[in-house]
Amino acid sequence: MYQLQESISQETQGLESLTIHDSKRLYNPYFLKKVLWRESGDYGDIPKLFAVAVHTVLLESGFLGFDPVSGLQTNRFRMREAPPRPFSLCYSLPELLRDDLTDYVVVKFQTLDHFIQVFGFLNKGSGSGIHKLCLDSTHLASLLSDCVTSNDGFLNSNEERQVSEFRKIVKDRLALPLLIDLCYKAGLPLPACFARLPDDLIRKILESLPAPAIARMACVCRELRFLASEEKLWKQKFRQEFGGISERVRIWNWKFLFHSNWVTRKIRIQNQALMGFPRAFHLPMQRDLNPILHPFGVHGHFGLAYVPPNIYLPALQPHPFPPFQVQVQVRGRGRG
Amino acid sequence: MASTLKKIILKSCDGKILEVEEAVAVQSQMIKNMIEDDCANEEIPLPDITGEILSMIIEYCKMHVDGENNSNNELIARDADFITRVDLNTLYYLIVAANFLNVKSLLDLTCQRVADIIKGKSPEEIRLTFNIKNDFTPEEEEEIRKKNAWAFDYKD
Repeated sequence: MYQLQESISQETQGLESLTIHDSKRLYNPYFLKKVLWRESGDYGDIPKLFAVAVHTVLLESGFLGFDPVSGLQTNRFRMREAPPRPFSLCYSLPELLRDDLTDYVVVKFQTLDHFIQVFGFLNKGSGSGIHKLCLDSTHLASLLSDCVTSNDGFLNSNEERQVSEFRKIVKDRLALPLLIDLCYKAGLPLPACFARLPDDLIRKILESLPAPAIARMACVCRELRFLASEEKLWKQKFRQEFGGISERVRIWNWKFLFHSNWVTRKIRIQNQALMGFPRAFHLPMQRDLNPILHPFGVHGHFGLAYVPPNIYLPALQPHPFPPFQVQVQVRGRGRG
Repeated sequence: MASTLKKIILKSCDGKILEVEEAVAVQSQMIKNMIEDDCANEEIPLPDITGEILSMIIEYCKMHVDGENNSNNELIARDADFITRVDLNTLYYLIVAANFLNVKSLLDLTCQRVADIIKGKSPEEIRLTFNIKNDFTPEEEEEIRKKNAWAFDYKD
């Protein structure tokens, strides 16, 4: 029998003694490698090796394996012979195993050609999606068997990187989502994740995002809507993007101001791309940026003083400003 | 310098004890303040920081102390290598611990990493990545999406 849980605690103890000498070893894929080495009798069977690797990461993330038929905790990885395909394993949390077990997660392994697919879902499936991982087994095979065979030596840095990449993918895309789904369903406190960060730290993260990404963050959930709409944040983003505005100007809604300037700039860039060059008489586009001051060259006297009306007028026509047009006609033709 | 050889003893919440050179430990503004106030002669207990996270932070600080003479680009490359190996769960603990210990460069690095993960993702993808539950009513969601529609056709 493979006493996985036991081997883990042994590993952990082993690692504890390592910490003082070499802190780096602690989080390197040493752990995964050793458990793999211990667990696999048969190196050739990739789906099994893969299942053991995923199993190890899940236990590492706080799950406990159990037998869905008896409802008892099984810390063993019962799979001496090649597994039937596809096959499933069940996991729950220590807090839930004490009570009547109603909520648990199922992890299903399936081999498809040279791809190995893992599906993780809640036993009652309601409300949560299926978390799916798909890994190329040819690549994985050489990596895992390297892990297994180099039983006393260290992996080279490239292999180590690949193992930690594998561990990271399984943790981020399978273990953590399942853990959150299960905690959410069972009413347990959520595991550490982005949403549990203190507000100040979320603010700091938002500050280092580009403005459109902040606006998209506001659409994620209520709390983020609040944090991603703060005036201070948008004021800072406005300054980064469009430069400063005099402190004396009182702005009530920085987000709105940012938005309108953003859209205006986009239209201007599109127009420029359309014409191939910035048009001389496109200066009136600036009007949107600053609605208070008159733009140079349209309403002022320069254009009229030096440009004959019959040249000036056609150039103005793309811009529908009826009041100015009337004015120009009146003055230009000397009537009134 | 004699003072750089002095060891600071840190104790994580799960009871692991780590000895760190003072030069490495003072990368943390919090520990630096403690040393200046002469409170660091005995072991410093660090609640909420596990041994694993603590040793990662110490590795990071060591890397920065050792790499002081290296070029800036090399340090940036090492930082990138350090941070891309970290999974989301660990990243969360690193952010919280870097904030507690006040290691500014690490806090910037970790927050930037989260920002990089968020960049270019739609709200649905962000929810999926960070497992955030959508608590909007359909009407609320429609409204907020309409308001921020300008941000959706832009590639970060």
